[in-house]
Formats: sequence, structure tokens, C-alpha cells
Amino acid sequence: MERRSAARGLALAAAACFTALAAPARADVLDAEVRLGGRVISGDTHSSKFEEYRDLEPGVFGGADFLLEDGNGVTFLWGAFDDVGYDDQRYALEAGQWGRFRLFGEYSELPHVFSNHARTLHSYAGQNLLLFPDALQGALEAAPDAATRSALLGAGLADADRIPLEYQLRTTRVGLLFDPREDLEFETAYRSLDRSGRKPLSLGFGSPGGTFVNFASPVDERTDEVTADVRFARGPWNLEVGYLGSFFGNDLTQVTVDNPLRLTDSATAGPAQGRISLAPDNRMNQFRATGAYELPFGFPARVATTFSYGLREQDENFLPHTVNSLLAGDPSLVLPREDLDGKVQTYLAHVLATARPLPELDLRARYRFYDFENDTPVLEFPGHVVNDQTLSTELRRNVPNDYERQQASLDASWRFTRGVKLQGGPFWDQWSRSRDREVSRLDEYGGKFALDLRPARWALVRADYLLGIRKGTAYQPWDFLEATLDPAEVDGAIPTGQLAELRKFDEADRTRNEIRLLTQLLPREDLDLSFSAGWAHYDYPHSSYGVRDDVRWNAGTEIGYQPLEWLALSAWYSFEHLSLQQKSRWRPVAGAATVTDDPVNDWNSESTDLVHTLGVNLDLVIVPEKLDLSFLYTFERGNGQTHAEGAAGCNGSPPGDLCIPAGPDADGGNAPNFPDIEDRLQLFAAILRYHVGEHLTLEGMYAFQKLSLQDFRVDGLDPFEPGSNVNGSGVVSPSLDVFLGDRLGDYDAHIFALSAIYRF
Amino acid sequence: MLTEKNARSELMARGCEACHGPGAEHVEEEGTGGRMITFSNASPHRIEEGKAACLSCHERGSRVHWKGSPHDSRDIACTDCHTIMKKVSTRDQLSHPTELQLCGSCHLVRRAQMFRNAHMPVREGAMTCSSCHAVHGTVNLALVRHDTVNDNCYSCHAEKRGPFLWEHAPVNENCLDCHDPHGSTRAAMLRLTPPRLCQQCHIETRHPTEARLPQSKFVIGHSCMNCHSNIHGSNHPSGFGFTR
Repeated sequence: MERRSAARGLALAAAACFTALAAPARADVLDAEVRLGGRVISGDTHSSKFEEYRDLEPGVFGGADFLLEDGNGVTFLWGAFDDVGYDDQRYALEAGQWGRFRLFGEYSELPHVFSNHARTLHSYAGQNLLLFPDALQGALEAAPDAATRSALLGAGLADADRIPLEYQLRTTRVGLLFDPREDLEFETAYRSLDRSGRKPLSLGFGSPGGTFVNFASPVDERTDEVTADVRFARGPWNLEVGYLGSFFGNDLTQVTVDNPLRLTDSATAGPAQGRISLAPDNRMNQFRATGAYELPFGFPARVATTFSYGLREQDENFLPHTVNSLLAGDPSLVLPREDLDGKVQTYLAHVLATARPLPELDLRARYRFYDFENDTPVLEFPGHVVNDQTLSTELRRNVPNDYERQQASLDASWRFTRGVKLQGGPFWDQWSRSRDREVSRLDEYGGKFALDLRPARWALVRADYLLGIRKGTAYQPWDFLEATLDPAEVDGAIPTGQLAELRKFDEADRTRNEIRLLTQLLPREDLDLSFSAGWAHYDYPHSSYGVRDDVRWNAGTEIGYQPLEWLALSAWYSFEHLSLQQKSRWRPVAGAATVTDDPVNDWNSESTDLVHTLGVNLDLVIVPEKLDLSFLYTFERGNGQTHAEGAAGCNGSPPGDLCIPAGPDADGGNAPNFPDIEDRLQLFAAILRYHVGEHLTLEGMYAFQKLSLQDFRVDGLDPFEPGSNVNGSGVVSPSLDVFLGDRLGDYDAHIFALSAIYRF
Repeated sequence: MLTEKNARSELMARGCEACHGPGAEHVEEEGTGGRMITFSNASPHRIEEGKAACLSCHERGSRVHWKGSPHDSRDIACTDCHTIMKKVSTRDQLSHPTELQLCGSCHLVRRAQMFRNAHMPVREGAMTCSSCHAVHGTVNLALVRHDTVNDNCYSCHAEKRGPFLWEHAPVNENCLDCHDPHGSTRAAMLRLTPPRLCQQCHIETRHPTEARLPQSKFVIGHSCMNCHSNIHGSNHPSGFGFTR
């Protein structure tokens, strides 16, 4: 993290001066607070998770906020400064006349740290060219076999250098809210999001599933957003029109990365470099109009409609097919045009009608239509290059998929008594997708029911039930192939395409049941209790393969208790259980397209998450208006399991290969359990506040923060992982892949802070 | 404080009566007479009368979608979330110090999710619930602020908006197919650990279909994204497998 102690000190001084200068010159009213303190931190804080989204360093810290109003309470100036001078600093200023206009401006920074452990041998030559040491590249290219290359690569990567893997987000926002009349309001705002730094990215080399390189990709992106809204409300009318423009610009269109295994390009053995595209510049313009009208019936009734139109465009110039000089000139790689001229139009219509024809009866009808119309042209690419290595003359078309979604619901609620309300009604949700998707139309029909009970003023019970049954038109597993390939190649591609029995979960027939319960009790002035629970079951009755069953349930409770004026306690606990079952099949291929497609190679997997979260707060007033003490504690424990098992009698290719264990008793699908992913987070803080006088408070804080994290995917990950090129039966081939070693790691930190808070 | 000097309408100039209704009878009978609009839990009329009182001035903006919205239809009163007579939060006159505490008082599990290993910067204070949700009503399910869930995500992650030359179809439809933005035990807020995440929908032949040993290069590091790193879409002419 960038250290800017001098700048931090100056910024703090400036913030304090600004707040002091805002002090009332006349009979104005100032409500202001300036915070200044220092902290020390001990413990192990090297994990990227410690400062994932914050800058928490030892040293001086401070902030301020103020509200200055004129004596009549008409005009105001408000400001807030937090973490001044740090990489997560925030500044906000507003000025205006209450109810008339408001000028606002904000600036904030936010780090996003991915890993503090990443190491690489690639060095930057310019912003988006990553070079591997030539000598090692040459040696690897000249090595006689994979085992020798692997040994050389491993020895070389042992000297990889640390590289920061983080970016900084800077957000600026300014705007104006103006109410020229009681019934009219204008609001306009501009926001920019500026990201710069590095994030992990990867590039495959070799055949699909062959070697790859993880690298630290540069990030230099900016999004500019403009909004403008006009709002009008008078009598029965409520009207709004608005505009949203969002413009994404990426200073980097590509990253070129040295292939560690080759110093020179080859037309067959691979390139010296690979090139990957980064997110292209794009823009969106959206217009929206909303109108609501109170209907002139003899009872309350209203209809509100919204229409919105959006246009998304992208015309970044295409990169060439490959950076491999020996392939780039192939005539099949001539681009059909220089850019995509991508265009998506979106249409939204929403109508909501509400009525209360009887005091006990509320009616609601809602209809929503959303059309994602993809007008991007279909381009034909007569050839392409796989991973900058292999030239293919298989024709490919892009598939600009689009969809429509319609949702409608009706519901009625009836108040039986003041304390009993029953609500329910049917709903319908339809997806219509373009023909490249497997299911062209998917309809869900169902009903929602809710019961609100207020047996007493101090008690509330809410219960909800939802049933939805979703069915689609015939599942067409080859539609995507037909859309993207030359018709003559489709039949040949089908055997190696998707398993015909697969049902993708977002297109599959599904029955869902959801139940929710919330209870809130206030039996005494000093006591409040809440309890919530939920259960949901998503069943995919016709999915032989893919997601088959998804069950989620949770329970939570909260208690707030203030038995004495000087003592307040609150505590909450939540548990969540998620369980998803899926089925798949190991489908080895021998030669070009001889597929072993046998049910004995099926495997099942169940992914389960168990998460406990607990929070306790205790506030004590030790000496009224002089001394108080607070304790806060949060504990979270998450456990993510991924279990799997295969059918007996695995039939690999050749039979017995790639099975566990190899042989006739093999467990098909090479499907062992993964180690559990575990995290335990503890956040504790004790805060003692001494109110020296009316204006000054001294605050001492001790905080303990601890994260223990086990994630087998990154724990102990090094740039070179010699055992990672392993097949299902445990046979290890020489590894030729390059990782970043972007581990996460545990942290435990003891934070001591002392600060002074001065209120004007 | 509303006064005649800073009021911008006749109603506002009435001060306390702007919200609580006529109080003459109440004053004349020394607090025992008349029926003023009150907003406390003890008030039998607080929900409907209270909402009407607030909306008489605050119907514009996000409240245009309030009537018939999920919170309105469940009789959530304005004063369940906002408090007027005392300062509890720094902004928006919330009844709890922060939005996370306020929303979490009913949505207990959502609040708990923010403490998971993979999370948005909500507990760090850089985002709030209202960064994504417009709690007074929207034209979308789950009170999502923008037209679609994806539009919500694109407001900060515009690099994933495209359109791309090679589209990953579910990406265009719903970010939530793969991510849980409230927090997850799995990295990148993914719903499942890759390769299982991808294997929900990919049973093509060869390497994607093997369940894999945990030490496999298809599992560790960035798993499937070790090669298919442009999984949200690619603009590279040879990027149809999202590898370029």
C-alpha cells in the first residue's frame, strides 16, 4: 500500500482548518466534530484480507464532520471527512438551502487488495507488456523433454519477485438538487470511478487445458456517469423523466505476456508471447419516464407506469487473431471488419396498479416487461488461433444472444382485524430467449401468500410462502453449436458437445418452495426480540444431469435489552445452511472425437455451506455524562464443503484409465471430496470514552481482529506447483504452468488507538 | 426544525402541525383532548396516517414507487426506519446508526452475510444496502435500484457490460447465476467452488467433465479461470472460449 505520511499530515491539518473556518461568524448554528488520534498495531497483518477494502496503518488518523446553518435554519453547509490522508479516505461537502437546492460533492478512495503474496518472474516493459527472462525462456525452449522443462521452470520460478496485486478505486461525484417550486425538482449528478493498479489474470498456452500463465494484469479503467432527472408531483399526478449515461473507458485494450516455454514463435509448438484482450470501451445511454396517477374513484386507487429505453454500444477495434508472427499472416485470419459495432437496446415497461376498494381490502396488479434486444451484427470468422498456438480453419460465428422477460402478479390482502392481515395471489414469470439458448421459452407459474399478525402492539409475526412451478419448451442441447458453427460442421461437433441429458439450471424445469418467518417482540420498553427463519427448496425434477436439488435454510435471532439507564445489551446470531447437488459425467475422448460416453463414468457432487455468525454489543455508562464503555464482538465461522463420489465401474479411455482406483472396481468420474474451505473471523473492540467537558471527549480503543482462513485452492500456492498436472487416477505429469502464488493468509491484529473528539 | 422562516409551503409553515395535524384542541384541553397524528408504536393509526403525513411532502423521487411496493404492502411505516425527533444516524434520519444495522434488524441473514470471507465493502463502510437497493420501491424485484440486477452491478463494474464479440449467455442475463453479492464463503462471492460452479452447466467432453483431484491445476489458483479468464465476455477475435 502506498504510504503518504506527509500528505496525510497535511490533509489532516487542512481538514481541521477547514472545519474550524466553518465556525459561525455570526449568529449561525454550528454542529461540528473533529476527531484526531493515533494508533499502533501489532500482530500479523500481512494477509491481504486485513486491508482488503481499507487502509489501516499505525500512525495519526483523523476526520471531521460539521453542519453549519444560518440562524433561521434556511441555508446550510455540511461536510464530512474520514480517514483523511489514507488510501480509504472520504470527503463529502454539501451546501444549499433546505428544501430549495443542494450542491453536493464527494471524493473517496478505496483499495482492493487481492493478495500480498503474489510472486512473478514476469517484468513490466511498458504498461501492458510482460516479459519473462530470455535466458530461461531459451533454456526451456531448448529442453529435450517435459520433465526437463518442468525442472527448469520450477528452479526459475523459485526466484520470482513479489508483486503487489491490488488496485485503487477513486470515486468523484458532484451534483445539484434544485427545487424551484414545491411541486418540481431537478437533480443532476456526475460520477467518475477511476481504477488503477493490478489484478490477477491468466492466459492459456498450448492446447485447451494445456499450459497457462497467471500474471498481474495492469488495470487502468475509468467510468464516467451522468444522471439528470426532473420530478413533478402535484395533486393526483407524479411524473418523472430521467437520463443515465455511463461511459466506460479502458486505457489498455490488451496485455501481451511472454510464454515462459518459448523464446521464439513456432507455427506448431507455440508462440513466444500470448495476447489477451481487456475490457473494451463501451457506453450506455438510458432514458426513463415514470408517471403515476391517483385514479378518480370513490376509493384510493393509483396506477404507476415506467418506461425505459437503453442503448449500449461497443466499437473497440479488434485485436489481430494472434500475436504469433508465424500464424498472423494466414489468409483465414483476415478479420471480417475492424470492430464489432456492438449494439444492445433494452426496453422496460412496468405497470403497477393499486387500489383499496374497501378499508379491509388492498389490491395490487403488476406487470413488467424487459427486452434485451441484441442488435450486434453476426460476424463470420473463417479461421482462428487457439491460444496463439494452433491455427484452425473451423468457421465460427459470434452469437449475440438476447432475451425477453415478462413478469406479472396479482395479489390481494385482507385485514380481518386490525392485527390480522392475509395476503396472496398468483404470479407468472416468463423468459423468452434467442434460439442459440437451449430453451426458447420458460414459464413459471405460482403463488405467493403472506400472513401478518399483530396480536398485540408489542408483537409482530410475518410469514411468507411461495410456490413456483417452472416449465420450459423442449430442451435443444445443440442450438448453440448450430448458431456458432458452419452447418456442415455441426453433426461432427455434436458428439463432443454438451451431454444431451444436461439441463442447465437457469433453463431447467424447476419447482420451488420458499418459506420465511419473521417475529418481532417488544414485550417491555427495555426489551426487544427478533427471530427469523427461512427455508427454500429448488427441485429440478427433469434434470438427470446438472443441478438437481438445491436446499437452503437459515435461522437468526436478535435480542436488545436495556435493563438499566446505564446498561444496554444487544446480541444476535444467525445460521445458514446451503446445499446443492449436481450430477455430471466424465467423458474422455480418444483421438479426434471418439467419445467414451458411459453412465458408469457418472459422478455426483454436493456443495454445502454452513455459516454461523454471532454479534454482541454491550454499552455501559460508568459515570453519567463523564465516562462510558462499549464492547463489540462479532464472530463468523464459515464452512464450505465440496463432496463428490462416482459410480462404480469407471470406464475411462482406455478402460480403467483416469479412474479411482484404476481397474474394474474403479470409482467413476474421478470424484473425490475437496478439502473444506473454512474461515473464522473475530472482531472485538472495547471503547472507553471520557467526556472531559461539553466539547471534548477522549476515546481509547483496543480492538482485536483475527481471521483464520483455509482455502485449499490458494493455501500454500507457489508460482510453481509441481504436483498440479495430475489426472484423476493420480498420475502426475510434469507441470509447465505458472501461478502467481496469490495466497490470502490469516491475520491477527491488536489495535490500540487514542483519539480526541472535539465538538463545536 | 421547520419554522415559518424556512418553510417552502403553507403546510410546512405550520411547524409541528405539518406532521401531527391540527393541535388547537389538544392544547386547549392541556394535552388530553383532540386526536393528533402520532407515530409511536403505541399509536393505533400510525401506519396509514403516518405514511400519509410523510408522503404529503415526500412523494417525489424514490417514493414515486412506494405505493404497492414490498415494504408498503407489508405495512412498514416510515417511522419504522426513520426517526424525526432525535438524531440517531448521521444522514437520512434513520432509526439506527447505520443502514446495515437498520436493514439487518429484519433481514438478519443478509446482515450476517456481510461478515463472510468474500464480501462487498459494506462492513468497511464503503457501500451500504442502498447502494444497490432502493428501499422505497423500484420497478424491479428485490427492490433492486436499476432496471435489472445486471444494470445494478454494471453501475460500478461497467467493464463487464459489453456487448462483447463473444458473449457468455448467462452473464448477460443475471450476475446472480454465479455470484452472491451479499457475501459467500467461496472466493469472489461465487456460489460454488470452481470447477463445480462451471460444471453445473458444462458437461462437454474432455477436461471440463472430470471431477478433478483437489491438487489439480484445474482446481487450484483460479481453477477454470486459469485459462478461461475472460469469462464475462471477450472481444478478441479468437476469444470464443473466453481464453483471450
